[in-house]
Amino acid sequence: MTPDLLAVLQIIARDVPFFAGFVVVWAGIFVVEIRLALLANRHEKRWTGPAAASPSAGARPGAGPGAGGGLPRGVEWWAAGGLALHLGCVVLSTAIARSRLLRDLSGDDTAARVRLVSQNLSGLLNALPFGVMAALPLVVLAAYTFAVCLWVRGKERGDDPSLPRFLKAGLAVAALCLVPVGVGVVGYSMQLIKIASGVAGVDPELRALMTARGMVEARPQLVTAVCVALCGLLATTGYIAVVCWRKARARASAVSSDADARARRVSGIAATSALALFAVSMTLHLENQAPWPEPSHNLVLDIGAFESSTVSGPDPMPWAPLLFVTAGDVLLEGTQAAGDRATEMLRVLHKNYTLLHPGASFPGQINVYCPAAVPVSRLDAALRVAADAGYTHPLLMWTQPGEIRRPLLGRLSRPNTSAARFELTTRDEGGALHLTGSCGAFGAELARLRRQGSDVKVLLANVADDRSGAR
Amino acid sequence: MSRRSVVTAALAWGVLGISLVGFWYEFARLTESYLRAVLL
Repeated sequence: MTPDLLAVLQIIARDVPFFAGFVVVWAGIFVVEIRLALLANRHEKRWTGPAAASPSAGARPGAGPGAGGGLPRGVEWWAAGGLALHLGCVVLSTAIARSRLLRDLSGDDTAARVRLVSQNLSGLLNALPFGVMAALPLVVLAAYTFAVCLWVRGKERGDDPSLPRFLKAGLAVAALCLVPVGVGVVGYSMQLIKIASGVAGVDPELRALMTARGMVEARPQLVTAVCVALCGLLATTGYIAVVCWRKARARASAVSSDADARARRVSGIAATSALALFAVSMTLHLENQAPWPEPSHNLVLDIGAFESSTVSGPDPMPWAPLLFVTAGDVLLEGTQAAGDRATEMLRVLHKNYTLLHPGASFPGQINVYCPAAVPVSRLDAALRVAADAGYTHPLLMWTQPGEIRRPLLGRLSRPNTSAARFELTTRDEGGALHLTGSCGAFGAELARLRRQGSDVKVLLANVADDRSGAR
Repeated sequence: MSRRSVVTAALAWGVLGISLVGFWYEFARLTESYLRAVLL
């Protein structure tokens, strides 16, 4: 195993809920599936091997030819159950990763929220494809065991079924139905991972567009796989049904046979499971079909913990990077960024804007959020970093509580935003607003001036301090 | 086994198969909702 693969596995083990436990469960199921396949194979050999040709051998109910008893009861159902158990674990792990993500979104500590959200986002994206990929060998083993067991049961009942036909039917269900669904889900999930990771460094408007568009474009892959699987399912079950129909009695006996009773029982279980699955799927369908509001004007809007503000600005929030200033930290686009790192990231965003908008003049806009109680010196430091990278027309933004309601996800916080624009200056020409006090006081004054229609210039505080020191 | 039982079994298994495929489609698609909740 290469160090790279080990590193990837370590990341997945950290982020995917109960990964280690599920690996152990998968290994256990894999071993059991192999043992069941070998057991089925041994019983098949009793009918097809040299023992079957011996004169003492005979087809009698409940026992194969040669030494030993018949195939133990329920072997085929254990094989199918192992696969179902694994898929249940995958669904559980994915559901836990998803609920963790939503729980982290409701936290009120920005630094912890950013860390948890990014970590659980990785878990959300990895849990499903990783589990489905691991299911593929189990599918093949379970299909083989199921087909061979049904054939052996037929022989034990005294019928003369064709083994290749049973094997083909079992493997056809796996190859034409289960495998396409698995491949489709894995491909679709990989596409979503690529979208989430491929938009880093792109300017916010384009990033929102690429993310929304990428999701829509990833869907046909899943839809195609589902269509292939449904066609495969109809073809294989239809073929099996026709073959069974030909061999079946034209009329039911007056006294139902054991086979009829068993078939009705199993059909009942299958129909009940189908109904339960349909009910669950409809709930998921409602969530998937419900339209979402237009994206907020920044992708990372939901990462930081915003406070409810009494101040609001007259300007709309533009599509621009988001600088989130707290008492101890600065987040740029949802990533912790100290001075040099923030400058470097902003320069990249500046350069990318120029590349993605050829011919357009760079507006130098950046959304800045600073909670009311944070000293304005923190804001000053962040604005200096922005100005160094060419972002000289920032907007201070405020949020008021807002939420959206989703059919399955419930209430999600989606704050309403407003902003006030200003221009940074390093020359004290008179009339420029000075950065003093707290972000709350500075913001209230800025909003008041903007509401009066003034074009506000803000003098970076350190420049003002330097001047007063020189005087 | 009677033909009636065969038809019943084929229908039940077919519907279960379609429900399973449908469930996995909707379950995979749900990832989009969570991504939108965080990213958009």
